[in-house]
Amino acid sequence: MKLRLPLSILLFAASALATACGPSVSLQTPAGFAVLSQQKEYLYRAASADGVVLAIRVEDNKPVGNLDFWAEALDRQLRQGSYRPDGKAEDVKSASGLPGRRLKYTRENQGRKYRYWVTVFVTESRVFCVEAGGDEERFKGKALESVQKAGDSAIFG
Amino acid sequence: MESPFQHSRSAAARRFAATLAHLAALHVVTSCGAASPAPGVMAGDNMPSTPMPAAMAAPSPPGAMAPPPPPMAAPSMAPSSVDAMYDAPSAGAPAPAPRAPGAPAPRPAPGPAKAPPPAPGKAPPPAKAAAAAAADKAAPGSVRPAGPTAPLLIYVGDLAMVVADEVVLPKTIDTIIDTAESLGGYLAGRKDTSVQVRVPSSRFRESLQLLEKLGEITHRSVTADDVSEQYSDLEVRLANLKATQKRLHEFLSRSGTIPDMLTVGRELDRVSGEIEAIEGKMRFLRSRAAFSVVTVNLSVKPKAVAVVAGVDAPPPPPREIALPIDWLPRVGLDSLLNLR
Repeated sequence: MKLRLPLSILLFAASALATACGPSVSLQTPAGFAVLSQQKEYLYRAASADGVVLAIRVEDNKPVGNLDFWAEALDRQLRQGSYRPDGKAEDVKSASGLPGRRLKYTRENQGRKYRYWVTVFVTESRVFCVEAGGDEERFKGKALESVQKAGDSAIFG
Repeated sequence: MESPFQHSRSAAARRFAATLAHLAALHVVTSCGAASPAPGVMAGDNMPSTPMPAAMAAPSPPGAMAPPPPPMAAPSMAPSSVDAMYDAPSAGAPAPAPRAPGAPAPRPAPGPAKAPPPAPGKAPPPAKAAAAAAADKAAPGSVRPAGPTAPLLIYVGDLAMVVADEVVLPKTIDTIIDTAESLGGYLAGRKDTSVQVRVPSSRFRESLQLLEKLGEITHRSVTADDVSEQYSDLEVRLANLKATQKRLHEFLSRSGTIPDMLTVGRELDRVSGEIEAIEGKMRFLRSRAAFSVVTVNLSVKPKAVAVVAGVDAPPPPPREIALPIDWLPRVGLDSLLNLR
């Protein structure tokens, strides 16, 4: 017997299966960036040719915490690692309306100053960290704006 | 067989010859400037009637008239005089030195009995009178003089003193020196924060009591070094050398030949040198025993600093905890920029 199912049902089933198996994210890769494949640490990572990197880390929300908890935990961890706050934290929203918080830092390494942003979004089961960083001379101007737009366009699933 | 007349005449002749020889010897000593050679005053039956140099005089026969005492080259402290000074101190002698714990009663310090306190920084004058008396009392031929009956002790005291502040410190040192001098002592050495004085051993304890009032004493030590045996050995050696010296003088007076005289003279010089060295050592020991050394090390009392915990000191930073989140430490530029 030959079984025939509509194509729409198959696509829905595949999509539902993918959603159930793991996290997903979609965002617009900034202009001038190339998406890097086969990432272990990150769900998504793209880099510009001059060394600015945009990445998305996805972790389980364990221990279960809200946005304030994870933003505070990240902030303390980074401060202990010689990161200096670069302005106040900003509350942002993803393209899907998920609230998040953007933390900005600078850090010196071998006489060079680097800029590092991390925007954290929290769902019931996941913690999404949109990280962006690079040399301060490179991570500025258009690169900075495009990275910011890409982060804001992210949809977390 | 001599007649009584002949005997008396012969004795008179011998006395006359001896006098002449003595005068001749004195003349030789004076004209040559020599201090040591003893005049030969030996006379015998065959003694020539004319004066002759003492060195050329014939050896005296047994029973001959005793010669006049030879002039001593240098005054020396005889053991007998030292003993007398120990055992029967004069009225002006210092009182007995402080007694060390567990030690027998010390003898009075054998220093200069009535000598005035020496000037600061100078050693006490030697006991010339005692030395001269000792020279007079030196028993000829005595091998071992009577040893001292009480120990000869050298007292050394050390004090560590704390004063209020740096301004007071030099004044305290001055006061310590003044105190020592008032007790008959003198300054032996001074540095910025320490001073060493020497005080009569008879007033050693008194000096410590006075010095302890000048500041807060944090350390105190007193030691007594017994040098009795060393001193006694020196006494014996001195007596023996003096006996040898006397015999050499006698032998020199009997030497008939120039080579013999030279040999005896060299030996006499050596013995005299040893005598002087021993007398120097004995003077040193007596000086050490007569004046005790007191060293005072001063320091400034540290100022108390009021430390009240939790009032002015900033509180320590809040304790950080490590969250049990393994990925958290990996967040940052190091992981982000490592593309490989």
